[in-house]
Amino acid sequence: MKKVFLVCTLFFLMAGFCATTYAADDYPTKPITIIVPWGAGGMSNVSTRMLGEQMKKILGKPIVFINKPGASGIIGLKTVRNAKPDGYTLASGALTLGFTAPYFLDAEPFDVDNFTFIGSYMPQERVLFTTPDKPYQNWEEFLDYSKEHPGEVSVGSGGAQWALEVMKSIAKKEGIDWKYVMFKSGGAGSSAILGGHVDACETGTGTPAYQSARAGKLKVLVDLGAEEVPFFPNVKNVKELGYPFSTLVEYGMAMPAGVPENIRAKLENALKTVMQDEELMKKMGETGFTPRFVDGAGFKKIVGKAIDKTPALQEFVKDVK
Amino acid sequence: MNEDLKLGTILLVFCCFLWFYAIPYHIKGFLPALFPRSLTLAMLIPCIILLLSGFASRKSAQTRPEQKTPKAVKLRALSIVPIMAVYICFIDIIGFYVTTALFIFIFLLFFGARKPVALIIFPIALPIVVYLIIGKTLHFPFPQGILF
Amino acid sequence: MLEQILSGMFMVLSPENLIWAAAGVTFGMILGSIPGLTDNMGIVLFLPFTFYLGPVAGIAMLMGLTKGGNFGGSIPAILFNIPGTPQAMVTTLDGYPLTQQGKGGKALKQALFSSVVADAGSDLILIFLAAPVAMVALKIGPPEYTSIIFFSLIVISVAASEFPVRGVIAVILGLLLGTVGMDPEFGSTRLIFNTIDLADGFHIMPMVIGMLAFSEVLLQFEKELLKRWHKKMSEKKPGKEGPPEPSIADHHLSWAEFKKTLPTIFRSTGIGASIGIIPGIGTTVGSYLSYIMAKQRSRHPEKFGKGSLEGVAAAEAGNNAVNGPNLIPLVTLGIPGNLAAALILGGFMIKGLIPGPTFMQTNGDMLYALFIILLLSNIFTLLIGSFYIKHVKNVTAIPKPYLFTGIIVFSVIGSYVNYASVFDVFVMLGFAILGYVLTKFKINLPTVIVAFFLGPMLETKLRQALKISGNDATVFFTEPISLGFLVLTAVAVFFLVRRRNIPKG
Repeated sequence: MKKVFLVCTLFFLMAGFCATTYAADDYPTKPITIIVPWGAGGMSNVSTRMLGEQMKKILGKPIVFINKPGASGIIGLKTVRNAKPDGYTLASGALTLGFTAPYFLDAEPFDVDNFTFIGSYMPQERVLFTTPDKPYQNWEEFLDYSKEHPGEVSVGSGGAQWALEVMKSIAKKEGIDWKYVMFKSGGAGSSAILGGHVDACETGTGTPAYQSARAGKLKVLVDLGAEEVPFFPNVKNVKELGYPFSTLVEYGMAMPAGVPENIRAKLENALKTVMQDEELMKKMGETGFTPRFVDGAGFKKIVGKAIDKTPALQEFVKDVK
Repeated sequence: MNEDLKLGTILLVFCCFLWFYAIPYHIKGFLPALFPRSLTLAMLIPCIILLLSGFASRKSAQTRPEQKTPKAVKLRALSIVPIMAVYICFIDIIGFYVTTALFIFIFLLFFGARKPVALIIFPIALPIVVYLIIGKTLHFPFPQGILF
Repeated sequence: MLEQILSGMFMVLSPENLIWAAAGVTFGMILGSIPGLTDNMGIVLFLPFTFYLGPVAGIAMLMGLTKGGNFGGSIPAILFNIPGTPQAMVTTLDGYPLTQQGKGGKALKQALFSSVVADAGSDLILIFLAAPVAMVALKIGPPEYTSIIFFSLIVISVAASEFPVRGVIAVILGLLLGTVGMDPEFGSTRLIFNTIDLADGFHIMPMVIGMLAFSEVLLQFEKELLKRWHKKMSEKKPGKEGPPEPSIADHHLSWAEFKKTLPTIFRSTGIGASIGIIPGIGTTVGSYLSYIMAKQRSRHPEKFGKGSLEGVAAAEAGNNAVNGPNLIPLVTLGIPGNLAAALILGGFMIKGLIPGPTFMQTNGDMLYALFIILLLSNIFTLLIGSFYIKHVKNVTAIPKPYLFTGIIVFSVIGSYVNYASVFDVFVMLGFAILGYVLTKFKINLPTVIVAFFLGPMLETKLRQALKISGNDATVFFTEPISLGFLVLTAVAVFFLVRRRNIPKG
């Protein structure tokens, strides 16, 4: 029993040594953890790591990356929301998708006020592709073909419920009857359209399907977002075409609410500085990413807008099968 | 009761649980429930085969001189489970290092190690090694509680 | 093309690249041989690190990690009956019995040589057949997937267990466990009983660790207790003996012994490579099907499961052969075939390289450099592996209490670190209990896990196929590849059942 006591005492002593307090002024004093709420194979992961590796140099402390996928990003975001607001736990990736996921998954919605926003680093467009052997080669022809063949044309999604819902809203407005097929990720959607297993399929920019389209092996029909598709200046987006809904995917970084402002500003600044690194930006651009910096306040507005848009879309497509 | 009969009964109960409670109350919609429902139905086939063969061989089974594991042995082995449950709860509350060292000590005693030197060194050294390799070198996250 | 091969060769042959490839193999092997830590985790960890290396060195290291990890996983599988990585599951079936007979070293060598031969073979397939194979892979759509998975599940359920009825139970149970989590189409949650941690289903690592590692501690400890109990009894009642002690150690693998397994290795390489062509089916299925096939074709099928070198060869060759073709969709189309490939894709992208249709033209030399590195890594695996097993084969001498405790600690850590979740550790414990109970009922655990792997994919593809065809189930019979696999299923079941009914003699 004595031995046990001795051992325990030793541990407590050691534990005491390790516990130190941190002040906000000399932030950061220990490694920073970045949680990516998606899997290790996706775009969120790659982009976060590309930026994080550079931010590390500016901040002067190591960064630990954790992939915490699950429930379309909800689980990772929840972990960050519940973390200590000391500036050492961040979430990074396609956060607007995570913030809107609760509406599609019927889970408890997030409140933007429960988060501190560092800034965002790129938007992503969702693009609808088709194979070149089809009788339709552009958006109008595709619509006409779909109307002439009700219930025969299948459209897929590369893992984005939101994009699928936007397509349903288009179908409702145009009076089209599509078959909707959900694929697990951008990669799975890409191989489905490359193999011709669906008639059209949407994925984000940067995916294999997107790279194939750049190589001329796929045709781009339409952009489901509201901005421009890099390398495809002539492709129209659904907003220009007059549809009521579009996707809004924004990659950025956030922390739990209550992080001191000077820490937030320091991180925001680090992100901004990294985004001025021309070599890195060139690399990201070649990958099909469209990096551009938005500050914390701006990102918060984007997330808020994304959250506001979702319930209306859900309501609109409720009766589309 | 022989093994086939036992397994068949357990599976039958499991199927009923799925069909009448889990699937109707915890899956929304017809299509999402379709696959689990088909599986539950499919499970009934081996289940019935087991029950039938169990009944058929009920008498002959009793004469089979199979060596059975004594209850005391089984219980002792399975008591690892509650100890583990306590261990995991403590990790969450107290933290990895202290808890692990303490429970390594407990487990060693439980498994029958009696050398005093090893009983002290092993609980201290193993968590340090684990922490250094996985936490420090590889930068994996560690459960952090109120202590270390 | 020759020019590209040569310039690729020059890119590879710098000491820096070779060192990082060897380092990757070494780390992979160590991580793989610790239950709960896998080569995939190694890749995740070293991914940011490769940012600082040159493009070839970075990729070389990642490739080395997968190769080393793949073999590393079979070490604890053979020595302790606990697979270090999920893909080494089938290796336990014959590897552990060999260790019990004192032939652990022999089994390890057999595993290493089979791995390396199969891996090299599958790399050659990748190098020379990438383009045609990629065309085949694209033809595999939802209906084809459905039939292929159906085929795998049926064959495994009928063949892998001593009792086909229990095999079917194992498969259905695995499929049911796979339905927990998110609906593949609507994304709504299923059977999670209001636990948001389950929203993504059971994570694979805690499940595998719980079922195969922790439950093994329970079972082996029980056996240990039983031995002590029998000893006590026999002291009172003399005359009763405990189980026989292991016979004389035999750690040598002779060339004659290895030569006998070569046909098995080549056949298994073929099976594994064919499975590897289809993205997502996975190494475990490759090694399982190879094992079943080897048992069918063997002259001594009765030895399987009791310490057959052929069994070890088939399992290891089958799982390593999956790797080469698995990279084909990655290098030709940019679509990762498995998690490791997905991570390596991340590695490419961090380097600013985009694998895909234009990769051959724009970065041909890079691609050949990659191929050469793959082949070289096999040599590293062989050398480092030989050195490694020389030293680890004696760890079985660790007294049981320390071994059990060590495994418990690593089970906890291994289930925690992937997702930094204490919930997962509880999941691990739950599956340990399930594994214990199922073993008592003679239900084969690897079968449950394979079905769990494939379940979500089966459901997804089945529903996608029906959706695209407009709920027309005949699609499975009208698509030629799909029909082929359904016919194959029937034939396989016929032969497996007939074989079983022949009286042994």
